[in-house]
Amino acid sequence: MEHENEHLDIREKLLRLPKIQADENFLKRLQIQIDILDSEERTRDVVEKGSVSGYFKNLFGARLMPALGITSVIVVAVLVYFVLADKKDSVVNNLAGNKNQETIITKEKPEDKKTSPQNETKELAKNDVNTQTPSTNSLNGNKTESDNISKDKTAPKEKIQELTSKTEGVVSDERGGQINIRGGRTSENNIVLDKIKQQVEPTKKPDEKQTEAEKKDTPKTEAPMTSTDSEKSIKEGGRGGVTDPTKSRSSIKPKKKEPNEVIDINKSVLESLRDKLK
Amino acid sequence: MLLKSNSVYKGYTDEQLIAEFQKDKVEAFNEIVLRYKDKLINFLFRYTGNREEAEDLAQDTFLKLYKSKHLYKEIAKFSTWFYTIAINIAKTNLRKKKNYSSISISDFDPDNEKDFDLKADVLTPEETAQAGIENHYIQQAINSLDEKFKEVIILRDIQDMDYEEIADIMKLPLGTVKSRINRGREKLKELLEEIYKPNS
Repeated sequence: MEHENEHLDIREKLLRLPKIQADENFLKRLQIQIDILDSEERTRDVVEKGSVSGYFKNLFGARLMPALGITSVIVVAVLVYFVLADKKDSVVNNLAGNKNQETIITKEKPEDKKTSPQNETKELAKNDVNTQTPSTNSLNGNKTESDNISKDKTAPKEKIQELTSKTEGVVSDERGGQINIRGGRTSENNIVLDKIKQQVEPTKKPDEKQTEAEKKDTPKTEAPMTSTDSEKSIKEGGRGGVTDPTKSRSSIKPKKKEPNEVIDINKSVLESLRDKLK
Repeated sequence: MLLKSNSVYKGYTDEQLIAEFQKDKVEAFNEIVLRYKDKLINFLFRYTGNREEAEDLAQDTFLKLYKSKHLYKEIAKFSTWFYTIAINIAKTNLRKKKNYSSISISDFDPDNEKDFDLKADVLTPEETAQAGIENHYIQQAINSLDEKFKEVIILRDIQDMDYEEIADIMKLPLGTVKSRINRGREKLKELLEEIYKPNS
């Protein structure tokens, strides 16, 4: 408050100063300025609207060419990168698909009778283990198949599977002999590769399995095979896969024509085996 | 379209007028111009010391208002916003003048009374002559003040504005405004004592 009351004389002098008024032309000049301003705004709008045609001229002007060039290069590089990335992904997917197809094919091979040698040996080994039936030698009419069969029954599944997986088909016997698993390790069910036979044969499986179980329980008191017998079995394609795979396969094929004989032979073999066990 | 007073907007407040002008009603702008042109020119004359310059600056202020009408918001008074524009334009012009160092011819002629429009029916010829000289010296003293004192002195002691409004225009605290006014008056007094010695 004291500040307001100080130097009031100066304030009064300043308040008494004459008030300046605008000229008569002030409003006219202001109107002119406003009209100029409005016209400029209108021309700006017109220019902006009409600049579409001149847009590209300005775009490709001398100033913007370097920037346009750089941006175009960057855009192309980005597009190429993404395209290549997509191609790689598609290639990878195709490879993955092929791998899956391969697995499918390998699985389907046993059904189509065109399995790989290892798979064939595995199947043969499994069938032999399950059924403990004579090999293809029975078809050849070898009487010593029963001896070979009895020995094969005693071999553990795991050992057979290992052998079939590791080797190409040739396996050493317990007595030192070599056995070609591929050729001769067929089960009673697989001796005749006939669909009709296979339908009939499965009915025998439970009996065969029972015999297998009995045989498994019994100790290995069977008479050891002589070397001659083993050789015979090896030669004649006894249990253990003696014959060559080609021969065994070739021998299999004609056997399709005589299914009834196979059943009779197997029964006789089984009966002989039972007698022995008793 | 000439700027003419419209009777419809005469009863409107300044804030209502600017609101109407923001709706693209040019007649409201005309009313604003008619209301503020004399006050603005007086303020700018006291600030610059030159009439022609004051009128040019006043036109620039109104043109700025015409272009930037959308910037006003009803947070403050219209006069506060308007005088802020005027002071900014005047300051910009003053800086340009300092760079160019222009000189007005009327400054050399103390007897030239064209810058002062005095009411002849109030004062006698002698008083008029005396007042003219005194006013001239006062104006010289105001021109000699520092910018920060000159602004507040003119707004308070010439335009007779409130302290609060001056604080809003200058964007200063109220205490600062009052102190500056006090110091400005003291300085003005000293200058007047040096320039003009009244007849005792």
